Order: sequence, then structure tokens, then C-alpha cells
Amino acid sequence: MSAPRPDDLLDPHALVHAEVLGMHARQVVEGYMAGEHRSPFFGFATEFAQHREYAQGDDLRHLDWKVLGRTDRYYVKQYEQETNFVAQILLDGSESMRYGSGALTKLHYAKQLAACLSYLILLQRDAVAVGLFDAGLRRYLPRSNNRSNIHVIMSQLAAFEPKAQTRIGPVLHEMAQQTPRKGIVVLISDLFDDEEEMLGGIQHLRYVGHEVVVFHVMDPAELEFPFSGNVEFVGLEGIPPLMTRASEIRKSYQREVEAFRTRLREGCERNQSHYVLVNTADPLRDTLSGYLAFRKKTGRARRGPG
Amino acid sequence: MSFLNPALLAFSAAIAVPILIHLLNRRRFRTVTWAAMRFIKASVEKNRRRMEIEDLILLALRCLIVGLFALALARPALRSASAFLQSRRVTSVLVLDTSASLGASDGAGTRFDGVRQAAEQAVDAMPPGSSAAVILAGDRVTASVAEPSFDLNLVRKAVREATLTDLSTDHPAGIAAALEVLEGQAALRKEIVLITDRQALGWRRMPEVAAMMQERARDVRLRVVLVGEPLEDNLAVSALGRSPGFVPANEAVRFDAEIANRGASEVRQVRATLHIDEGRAVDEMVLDSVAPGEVRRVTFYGKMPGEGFHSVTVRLPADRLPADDSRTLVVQAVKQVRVLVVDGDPASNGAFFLRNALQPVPADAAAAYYLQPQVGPAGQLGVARLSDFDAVILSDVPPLPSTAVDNLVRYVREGGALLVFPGPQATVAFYNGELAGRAGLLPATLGALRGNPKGDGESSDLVLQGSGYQHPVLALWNEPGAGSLAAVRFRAAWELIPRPAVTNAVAGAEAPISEVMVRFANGTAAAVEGSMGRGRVMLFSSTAGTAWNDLPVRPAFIPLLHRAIASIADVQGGRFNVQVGGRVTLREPAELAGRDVTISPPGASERRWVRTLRAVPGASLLEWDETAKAGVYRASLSGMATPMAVFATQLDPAESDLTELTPERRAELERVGQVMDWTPGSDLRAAFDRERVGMELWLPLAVAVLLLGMTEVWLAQQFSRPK
Repeated sequence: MSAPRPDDLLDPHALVHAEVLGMHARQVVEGYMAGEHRSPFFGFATEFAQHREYAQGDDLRHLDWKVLGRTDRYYVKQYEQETNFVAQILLDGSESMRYGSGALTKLHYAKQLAACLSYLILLQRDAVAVGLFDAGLRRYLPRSNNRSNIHVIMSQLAAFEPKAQTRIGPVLHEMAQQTPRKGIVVLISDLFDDEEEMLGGIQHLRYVGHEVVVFHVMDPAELEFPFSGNVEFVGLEGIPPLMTRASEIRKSYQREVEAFRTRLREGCERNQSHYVLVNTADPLRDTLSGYLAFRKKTGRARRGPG
Repeated sequence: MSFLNPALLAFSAAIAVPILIHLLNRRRFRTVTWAAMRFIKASVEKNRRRMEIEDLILLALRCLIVGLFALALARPALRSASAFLQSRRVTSVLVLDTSASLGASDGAGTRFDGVRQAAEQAVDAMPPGSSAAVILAGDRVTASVAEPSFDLNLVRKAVREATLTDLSTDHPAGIAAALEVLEGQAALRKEIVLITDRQALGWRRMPEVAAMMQERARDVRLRVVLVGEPLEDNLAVSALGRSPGFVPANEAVRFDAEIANRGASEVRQVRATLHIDEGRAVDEMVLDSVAPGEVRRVTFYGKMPGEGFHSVTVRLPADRLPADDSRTLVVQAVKQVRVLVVDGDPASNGAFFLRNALQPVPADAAAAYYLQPQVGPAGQLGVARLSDFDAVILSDVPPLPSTAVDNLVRYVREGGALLVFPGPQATVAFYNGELAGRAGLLPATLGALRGNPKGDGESSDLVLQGSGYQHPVLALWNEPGAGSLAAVRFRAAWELIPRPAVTNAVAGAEAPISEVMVRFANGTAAAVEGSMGRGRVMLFSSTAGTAWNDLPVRPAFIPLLHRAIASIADVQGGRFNVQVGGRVTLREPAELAGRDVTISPPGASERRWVRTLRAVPGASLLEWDETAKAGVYRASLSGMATPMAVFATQLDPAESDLTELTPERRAELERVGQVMDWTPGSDLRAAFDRERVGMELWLPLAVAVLLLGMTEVWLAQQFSRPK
């Protein structure tokens, strides 16, 4: 498939739906300017967070006089600081992403997803950085909260052509080391790589405080395995061809895929990361809005009403 | 294990087809570029062994199906198998002996009744699914159910409707016919069930039977069922003949019969009677005693009541075997036989002797005598109406005009009889060039004139043979009491050179056109007989008068002349009487070709046959061989009351010999097949069942192929389900 044009990567329908929901940091991010996301640094903005006992040196402006009047105890009010976040979007550009049973390849779908996310993040004045990787980080667009930067991102995404095998784990480790400031790391990949390494990378990211969201991109054929008769499967990443009677191993294959997904999902859950299965047969609109709706809902539940 | 269709085993090569398809299928695949190879690899590794085993199972099943199918087509058969697996059906040919000896009765029923009952039992004893053909056999064979039929009711009906014949017994003929029927059959168990009596006669060709079964019938079982009780006494009319020559109407004619005692004990006071046209006895003889094995000659005299065909029957008192208690002959009585004597040399005495020999009665009885000679000159031969005469004698004729020769040819061609006595007037040029050459009339050509035609002395080398006469005209002189023809003195005679055998156009078959009747002592022919068209010609080598020999003044001259004329003027006489089963050929005028002839068999049967006279050059022909019953057959042109021809068939005298199989001969027979005795109340089924073992395997194989096919389909579906 030829490289997509930059303008094709933004799905207007997806954006219309996703714009309403916005890209909210599900957990506290360490913003570099005041925004609409909670900061790990409790500030003195309008959003009340909690009380704590007064300690020497505290600003008396924050003393809660009402509590003092009722209880004769000294408490100061603490407020959550609204901040913006930095989203690191990591897009798998390996050979295996070129697969597509229909007109749409996984890579194209992933590029669209990355572009839409970038657009949404920039739209809400957050910063976004985009990394394209295979065995290593092939291209990296540093963070920017300038909306006009979306054109640069789309051009880079559109121009990218996969060439090599995937090595996700090292890329995640590298990312964890290079971005000490907490933010959101969005991994978009088919995850056809060493599971342990990959989960180790996620764990590392979580360790340094990043929120990690994993978009697992799968073609419907990879999920359903609709083949029959004698089929020779030629691997995209240099794996020797395999010939088999496809229909006879369908269930076995599906079990393998399901087990793989389960392991990934459980690994992500252990690391308090989001695992999202993306079926390229589903419209991007549904995928994006579905996830963002879920994200908004879980974010509220965590913060509680009000 | 044997195969009934071994050629179809070649289909087993088709076992390679599933293997080829399997290999070709492995080469037929589509290619998919794929990303999630790790999952496929894991699945394939987990399933590879199972899939390989499933592949092998399906391949083996498919090969097995093809192999078993080919095997089933070849119809394998086991010679023996356990009883519960047996499919014991047989393909059988029932050979029923219908020969005359089966007519022997024990007082309650005939042997043939036993044959039919035993045959029905044999049919009843056949396992379900069997087929049978029925052959009725004597020394001739008739197929009643020509091909093995699964309709055993039809077979039973054929057995019940089988009729006894008067044929002789000859089992090799029936067995050979049965083998021919079975040779075309693809069956596991083939058997011939020959049901006959114990008569030894039928097994006289036992070595041939043994060789036949050995060479042609290794897979055919011969079962011989012997019926009937021994017969102690049997008297038979074993022969009946008439004296050669014309049978004049209303004159006593001599008939010679032979009475044979085929029994084991002496028979006394045997009364034999002669019957004309099935009427009352006209003559009888009583023999005081006929010893066992003795054959007595009896002479009868009878007068034919008028000209035409008459049956002459000699009868004995009825005994247990009625077939040989009588014997019938057909004769054609003549009222007057007109003979034209052409006198070629009035100066000689040939015509004189011929006329007196032809009519050896006093002058006042001459007019009533049946032979009426007329002497005429050679010059009138061209214009004479020869068709008015039954025979023409040329006595030393000189060269004749061609009109006379043509007249003679027409006469002989249409059935006339011609006797030629060449003498001094004969010329080699005319006799050989005209009569023998152009006209083809003479059965021999003239060679050198031998002896002393001008002198008085006799020639020492012109002496007729003294014995061993083969020709019926001369058979009389084989008897010592009849004198000897060697006593005849010859002074001169023409050397006769018989014509070589050529195809007889009238008979439509290769037949000798000339036959030497008698020879001189030095081996040269003295008289030659031949045929032309429907007529016959006799050529003698010397004169009819005393010019060159003294035969005319010897007593032998009259009977010789009479017998010679009767022999060739009565062309069809010899063919009116044949042995049972023989062929009768009726030669009729050409204008009757295409007319239907109705033939009625002997006895009171209402059965009639209608046949058409076939056109052949110069005549019309009817050949008839449905002569299995002894007696008188009458052939009439359709719409005509008077028979056109009457003929009779006679029993083979050997058939009267009821001598039973000797133990040695029976032992020989048992080496060839199963031999069992049958009496009313015997159980053939048990006897047959003891030997009927073996099974044909095509049906179980076909079922196995079907089951394996269904299994293969089911397994293929199971195996191809996603796992």
C-alpha cells in the first residue's frame, strides 16, 4: 500500500466525536504550565483537595478558619493544581504492521489513530510528542503544544515506511529514561514482540510515573483466521514460510491469540496501564470515542463526584 | 482364492490415484502474506503430528477403498469357507439323458420318469440364487433352456416337459454341450448334473470324457446321477432291410430282419410279425428259442398294396423296453418301370440280352411284369421323349448327334437313370469328348481298349474281383451262396478312368461324383457310378451282349441288371430310411422351390413342422434333421393330401444293449466326477450339499467399500473441522 497523504490521517468523524470527550490525563501528570489536568503538586487553585494539620511555616492564608472555630484545631486547605500534560505517542512502524486483510493496513489505521490523538491533545492545549519505532526509535518529534504542529506530525506519519522487525521493550526503556517528567505514554502497536521485554518496558515507564496506554492493533483476519484449504503463510518479518490446512488449525490459532491478549492485558493491569484492543475492522471513530469515553468515566470514578 | 474376473484386477493399479491426488493437493496451495506468524507456528507445531496421522489415515482409507473396489470387480472367491459365510449358489447345467434306453420300464414307471424326478430334485437342491440350464441329450443334443436361468420354475417346467427320444446314448456329446454353456459363465461354482441310466453304452468314450473334464473343465464339477433298475430281459428288432432293387406293387417283396436277445436269459417262442402301413400282420415268424446275446435272421415277405410310399414294420411282443420292440422301414412301391434300350449295333446281341434280362418271364406274363423294356435305334435318341422312361440303357452306341446328347443330359439332370455299355461301336473321341467332356454325363472317361476284341480267346487280366464288394448293387455277391462274378469271362473291355471328385452342385457339398462299383483283378475299374443333376449314371467297361464277355449268359446278369437299374432309378430310395437323429434330404423338382412342406412326426402327436423348399441349381431341397423319434415321418406340400415323401427313422441297434456300467468303468467315472445312485425317495440335496462349499467374496467386499467410503467421508469431515 502506498503511503497515505497527511490529510487522510485525520478522520473528521472520529475527531468530531473525540473532541467532545477530550484527552484527559487519567492520573496526575506533571504539567509544565497550568492546564486542565490535575498536577501532582497540590496548589492553591480553586479545586479543593484535602485538609492537613497546620505545620510551622505554612501560609496562614490557607488556614481553614471554620475548622479552627469549630474544633480549635489548625488545619490548612489543600487544593489540586490544574495543569497540562505531555503525551508521548509511540507508533510501531515494524514490518508486521503492514498487514491488512482489506484495503486498510494496521499501520495506516495506527497512523490515523496517532494523528487523531495528537490533534485532540493539541486541541486541548496539551503537549504531544510522537515517536516512530521498529527495532529502535526511528523518528522522534519532540513535544509541542502548538496546534500548528499537527501538520508536521501528520507529514511525518504519512511519510513513514516500515522496514524492520519490532523491538518494543528497548524502545520503552529508552523512552522511560529520556522523559523523566511524568506524562502519558501511548503505545500503538500490534505487539508482536517479546512479551516479557515489552511488559518490562511498560513497568519501567510506570516506575518513572508515566501513565501508559497500550493500543493493541489487530487486523480482523488476525483475530478470526478465516482461511481454509492449503495455505502457505509468508511471514512479514523474515519468519520462514509455513504451509498448513488453515481451517484445521483455526481454533488452535484463535486460542493462541486469545492467550496472548490475555497475558498482555493482565500484564498491563498489573502495571496499572490501559490495554485497548483495536480491531482495524472497527471505525476509528468508535475506537477513539469508545476509549475516551471509558477513560473519562474511569477518571471521574477515581476522583469521585464533584 | 480364485478370481472370476481376473482381468479386472488391473483396476487395482488405481490405488495410485489417491496417492497422486494427495501429492498433487500438497502442491496446490495459495500464499498469504502474514504478520501473526508466531501464532500459526505455535498452532502448526501443536497440530502437526495429529494432522499427519489424519492424513495418513485418510490416504490409507482411500487406497483401501480403491483396492477393495478393484478386488470386488475381480470377483474373488474362496473354495472353502465356514458354513455360515457360505454363499453356495451354483451355475448348473442339467443334462437329461433322453436316449431310447431311458424308456425301459420297471412296471411302475420308466427310467425317464426317474430322470425327470431326479432332475426336479436337483433343481430343488440348488441353493438360493442359483441358475440352471437344461440340455436334453442322446447322441444328439437339444438345449431346452439354452443359458443358465435364475428362474428355476422355468427350469422345472423344462424338466417336466422333457420328452423321451429314440436317440442313442453318447454322454460325451451332452457333457461337451454343457461345457460350452458353462464356458461363457462367470460363476464360482459350475457344475454339470448328468442324469442318466446305468447303460454302459453311453460311457464307451470314457477316455474322452476324462480328457475333456481334465482339459476344459477344471472349475466345473461333474455329477452323474444314475437312475433306474437293471433290466434282465430285452428282445430287440436290431435290423430290418429289403432286398435291393425295385419294390414292385402287389408283388411279394422280401424283407430281412434281425431279432437280437439283449437280455441275460434265453427267450422261447418269439413271435415276430410283419406289418404293412401299420395294418394287420401280413407275415409272421416264430422263433423257438433265442439265446442270450444271439442275433437271429428272419425273412418276411409282404406285398405293397399299391404304388407309392409304404411303411413296413417288424414287431415283437412288448417287453420292458418298447423302443426296440419294432422297427419300421419306408419303401416306395412302383407299379411299372419303363426302360428304353438304345440299340447302338443291331448286328450285335446286346439289346436282345438286355430286353430278355429285364423281362425274365414267359411271354404271356410279360405285359403284367413291372419292368417294361422298349428297344429303339440310336438314331431316334434325339427326338425320343425320354421323360416317359424310368431308365435308359445305351448298348454300344456309336457317336451320336449333339441333339441326342443334349436330350440325354436334360433327362439325367432332371432325375433320369442312365446305364452305358460301350462296345466295338464306341469311339474314344465321342465318349470322352462329347459324353464325358462337353456334356459331363459320364462318371469316367475311356482309356485304352484292353483284351482281344477281334479274337476268340479270353484276356487273362480281365477278371472281375471275386469278393469285397462295397457297392450295394453288388453286395449280394459277398455271400458265398450267390456265386462269384469272378467267373465271368472277358475278351475285351475299355479301360475306365474315373473322374476326380468335384463339388456336387446339386447337393451343394463336396461329394464324389464318381464311384467305382467293381474292379478287375488288376485294380482297374470295371464299372463306375456317378451323378449329374438329380439323375445317376452307370458306365460299364464292356458290352451288354456276348460280343466281349459272357456275363449276359450267366445267372448273375439278371439280378445285376435289375439291381443296377433299381439303384440308380430309385435315387431317393436310400434316403428314405435313416438312423434316428440322422438327416433326411429331399430333392424335388425345381419348380417346387419356395413351397411350404408340412412334416408330421411318428405317432399320434399333433405337432407339425412347416419348412420351405430351398432352391438349388436344377432342383429344390429340403433338409430335415428333427428325427429324434423312431418311426414314419410324412412330408406333404401344403394343401396336398397325399404325402410328397415319406421317410422312416430307425433306432440305433446298439441302444438295445442295456449292459450296465462295470465296476471298473464306474470307478473310472468316479475319478472324473461325483457318481450317485438315485432311486425314488433318495435325497439328492444331501449328496450335493456335501460338495458344494466355497463362497464368492464380491458382496462382502462391496459392503466393505461402502462402509469404508462412509467412514472416509465422516472422518474427512471430522478431521477438517477447525481445532
